[in-house]
Amino acid sequence: MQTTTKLNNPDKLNAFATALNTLREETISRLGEEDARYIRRLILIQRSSEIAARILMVMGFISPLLWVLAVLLLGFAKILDNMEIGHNVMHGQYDWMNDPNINSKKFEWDILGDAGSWRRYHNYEHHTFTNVIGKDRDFGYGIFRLSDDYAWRPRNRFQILYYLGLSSFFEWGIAYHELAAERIFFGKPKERSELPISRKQLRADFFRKIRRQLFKDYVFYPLLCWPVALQVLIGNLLANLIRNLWTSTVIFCGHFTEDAHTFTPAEIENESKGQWYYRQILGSSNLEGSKWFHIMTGHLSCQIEHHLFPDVPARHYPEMAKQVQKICKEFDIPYNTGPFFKQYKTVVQRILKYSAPTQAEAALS
Amino acid sequence: MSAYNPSSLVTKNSPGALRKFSTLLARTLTNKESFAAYFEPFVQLFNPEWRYNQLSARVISKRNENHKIYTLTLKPNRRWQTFKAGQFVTLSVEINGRLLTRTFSISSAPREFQRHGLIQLSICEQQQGAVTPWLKSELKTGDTVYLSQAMGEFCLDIQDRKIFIAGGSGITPIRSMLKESKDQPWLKDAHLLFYQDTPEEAIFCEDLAELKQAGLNVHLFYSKLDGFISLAHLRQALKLSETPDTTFFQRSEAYICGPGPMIANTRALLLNAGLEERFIHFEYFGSTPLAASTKALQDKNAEAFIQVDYLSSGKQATFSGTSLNKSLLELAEEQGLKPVSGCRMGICHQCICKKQSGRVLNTKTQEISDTGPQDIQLCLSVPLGPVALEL
Repeated sequence: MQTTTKLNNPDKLNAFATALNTLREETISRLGEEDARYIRRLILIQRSSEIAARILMVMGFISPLLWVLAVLLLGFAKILDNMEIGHNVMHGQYDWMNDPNINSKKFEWDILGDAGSWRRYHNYEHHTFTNVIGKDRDFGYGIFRLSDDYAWRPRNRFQILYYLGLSSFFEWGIAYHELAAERIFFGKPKERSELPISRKQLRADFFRKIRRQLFKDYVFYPLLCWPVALQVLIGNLLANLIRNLWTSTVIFCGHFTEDAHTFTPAEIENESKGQWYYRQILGSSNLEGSKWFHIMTGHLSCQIEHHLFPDVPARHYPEMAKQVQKICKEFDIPYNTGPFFKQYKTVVQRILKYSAPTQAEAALS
Repeated sequence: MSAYNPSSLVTKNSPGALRKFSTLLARTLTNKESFAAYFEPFVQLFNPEWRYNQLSARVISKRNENHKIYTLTLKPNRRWQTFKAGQFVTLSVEINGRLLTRTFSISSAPREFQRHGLIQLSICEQQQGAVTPWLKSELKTGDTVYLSQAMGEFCLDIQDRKIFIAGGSGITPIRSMLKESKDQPWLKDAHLLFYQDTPEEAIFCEDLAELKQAGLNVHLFYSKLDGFISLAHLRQALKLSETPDTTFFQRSEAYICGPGPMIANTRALLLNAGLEERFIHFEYFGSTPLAASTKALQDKNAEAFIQVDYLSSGKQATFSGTSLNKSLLELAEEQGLKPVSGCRMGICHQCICKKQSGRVLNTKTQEISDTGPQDIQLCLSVPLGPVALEL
């Protein structure tokens, strides 16, 4: 486990925060027409792919290759919608455009999880309390033991299997995340809930979104293409699976790599902006890759920059990353980056490593 | 009087069963509010200015009235309904990727719209504004802008003798009313008191000459020479006697449009002279842009009270003292409102709320907002003057 202490030199922390703030301001001042054109073009690519995929899916009877292409294309469209478009728009990265179609408050995405619910827990809980044990439920999702902060339990032995399960059904995890925190279906309801909507509304939104998504992919389109209903249904199922595996893989690489740090709630008391930045960097890790690799990950490949500047349009992260790396070097702060496969390997290793008890725990049992 | 009523921005047609079904289907299949919203990028391939939720208008011509005021002639598309003389529209333009919206009175007459399908907006350039200087320098003939339907209640009423009092570009809605009423018998008994800075900057001279010909009593004042509106001006223009003449005002009504202080003065004068409050119609005009961030804060401290309107809940509150340095989120919570909020430090964007009007300071970027409608983060925003929020 990586333990961290606060950077104790307040002057150094302030200088560090100022350097990052300046970088943010510089980037913000450059936002404009080009960013608007960029996001609109991506939305066009996403919708063209989706429509083409829905049509090709039916053509499967001509050649199975067309069907395979359709599945890949639909998976691609869903990934673009969820990652580079949905995730980033819902972070408010494009709110300055004043376009109601590209606005954090209104955006709804092609995934089982209700956008409103995701915005509530992700933008607040995960981005404010990144990797703080007991506060950021994205750290291990209450399923995985990924550090010695949690005591080992026998069920952790099989957590690599849970991991494969969660990856395949990742969108269900996203949909259920907030309801789990509120213990809507299981467990004793929280006594003090911070939920800004009623529990009834939360449940209603949850079921409505799931109903719509299931109806679309598994009832409407298969029935619309009746003679080939089965191939459409299976195609849609596979496209969703592709999206689930990809998004879960990218997201696990963001905070669960070997060197991603964890924090205790005591560490973040009276945290200054500099300390907050510092913690975001220590708790996140980057992936290196080409332009389209970054786009396919929704620029979560620049997880560090995303956590420092969650509302700056993501297409600027690769440029900002160079500056952030320079700043980190100057202040002697570790910066966790590497090629995709290398980083992913350490994630799998981490899941495996902590499925075994510590020596002390093993000795006790 | 006419207040800016944001709810009238949306025309509420009760949706039929078919419409409801199509919305539900669009939501289910595309996750967007309508199929039009989903297909917008495809339409934009052929028509880049098309937006599914906007009424567009083409710029036909642009003409300078003086060095500050210019007139845009626009041809709204077919879905734009019509307007009553004196009403206003919101105009939106995309400037460097941002859609910015401002409110302007229509300065042409409805009868001209019936005949040619054109409307005019006469706009006063705000020196540090984000929109009005851009419209003047960058907007070209043939460009597309977006309009709302016409709204506002600053329209002609029924009383016999009409007194119009305009300050600067506040003439625009009154120009519309008068041009519309060129053939009305009451025009000969009506008075227009028009205040401008200097004779060199005089605008709409031709129109006023025509109206004079039609019988309107036109009185021009230049504040650099004659000073601001006074009882002497009123007496001189309306030929009133020294003693308060209540019979004169019994059959009268006044229409005032101009900057805030001018309206306040004129209203007080007319009330004193014996005109009943319900016969005084007025519309505020223009905004004074604040110079710089520090200046704004100084001004704010000088101003003892700030009023915040919460439009959705119908609440209204006035704040003073140390409250003036609190964020709009804290202020709303003090009022017992519960806006959605999260990190309270500007990163999670949960507390975004639509501001309909007013200036706020963003404490993170130190930027001062425009006066128009805009999404703001409540936790970072400190009001600099009266603010109306959709909360």
